[in-house]
Amino acid sequence: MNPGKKNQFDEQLREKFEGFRPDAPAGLWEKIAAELDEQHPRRRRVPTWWMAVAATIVVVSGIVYWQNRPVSVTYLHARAEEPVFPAQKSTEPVASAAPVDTAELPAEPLDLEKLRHVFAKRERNISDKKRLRVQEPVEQSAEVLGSAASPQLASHETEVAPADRSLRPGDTLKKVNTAITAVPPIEPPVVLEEEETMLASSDPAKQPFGVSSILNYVVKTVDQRDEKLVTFSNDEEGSLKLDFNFSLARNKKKRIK
Amino acid sequence: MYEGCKAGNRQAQERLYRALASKMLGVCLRYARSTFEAEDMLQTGFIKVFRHIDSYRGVGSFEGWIRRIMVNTAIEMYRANQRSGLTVEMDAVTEDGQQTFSMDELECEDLLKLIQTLPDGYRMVFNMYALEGFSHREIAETLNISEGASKSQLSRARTWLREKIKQLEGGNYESR
Repeated sequence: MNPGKKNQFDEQLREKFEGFRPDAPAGLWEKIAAELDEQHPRRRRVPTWWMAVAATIVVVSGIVYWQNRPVSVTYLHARAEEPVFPAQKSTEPVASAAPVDTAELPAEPLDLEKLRHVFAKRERNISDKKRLRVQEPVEQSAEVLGSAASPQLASHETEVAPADRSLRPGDTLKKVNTAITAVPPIEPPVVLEEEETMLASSDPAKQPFGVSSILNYVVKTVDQRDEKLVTFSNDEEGSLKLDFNFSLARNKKKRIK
Repeated sequence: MYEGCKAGNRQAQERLYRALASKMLGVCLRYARSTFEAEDMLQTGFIKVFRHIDSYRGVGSFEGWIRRIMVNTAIEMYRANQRSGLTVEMDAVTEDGQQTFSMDELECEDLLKLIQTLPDGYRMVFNMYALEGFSHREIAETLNISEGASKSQLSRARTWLREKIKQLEGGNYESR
């Protein structure tokens, strides 16, 4: 091996090619210019498409956040002015009922409400006849509450009655009824109405103008094809649904190539 | 001219092309297997130059940078060809390597024809080492071969070329 000789050979060739200037083919510059021209619009198209997608994502996430933002909860407290609890009273001797009631005031209204709820529910299912009779909200509440309390009251009455008839059970009942009407009523029938309206609104034909319409409009402005890449819709529960048409995205890619 | 090309000025780009096309075609021809392939290389190379002109940082000459792009384009083409499975092994040749040539007698076109008939791998190594000045390590990394393979391919290519040049010169003398 003789590196000096080899380098000399390389050197000879290098010198030879250094001054080598073959003629470039005639139309090559036109080809290059055409290819450069062709590339420019392609380059611009891709970022616009991605910007549209990015903008849509930002808008969607913003709206979703706004709809789910934390809201401070206000708890409403019912004021019980003259609370009397029939259950407590009737288990004890009727004579000592009044003083005991005043002593146990704070805990009672809660129990009463619970009972009212339970019976109101049962009422809804069982006694349709009674509900049909109800006309005005105030009467309604009184009626429903009365009827809600009535089974219990009736049972207590039967308990109490044999023990001591002379203690006028009618008085207790009257007192209970006035106490119930005095308590700010939570109206089960109203709740029922809400449910009904909810059920009615779930009818897909009557979809209200919602967030999805706005989003679809935004998509329409950036994506001007007949079929959109992203379509928004609301379902029965009001949550937002996104439909991606991936076949469109794929087609677009192919076209770029 | 460089500033104009950077701004995407088509006239400046054309001027740069006219100034360097011939010289760069000379480089491409050495790496290519045919004139057609060399012209393809030149076109691809110049498009790369104009598209990536921002990546020229002013280190070294602008012409050197363009030449490097042409060589890189040649390497990419070689890799693409390699993937298609066209590799030719050269027979072992005996080293004499002591002879010198009077290359003045030979035209570049004749030398080119010889270089273009070298198997692809050998041609790449010979061009990169002998004419471009890459190191064996650089060649090994770029072509994804071992340094030893680079060295052995270079020496075989040289021997083979010498042999052919000798034949060519002999033929020339005979024909005179």
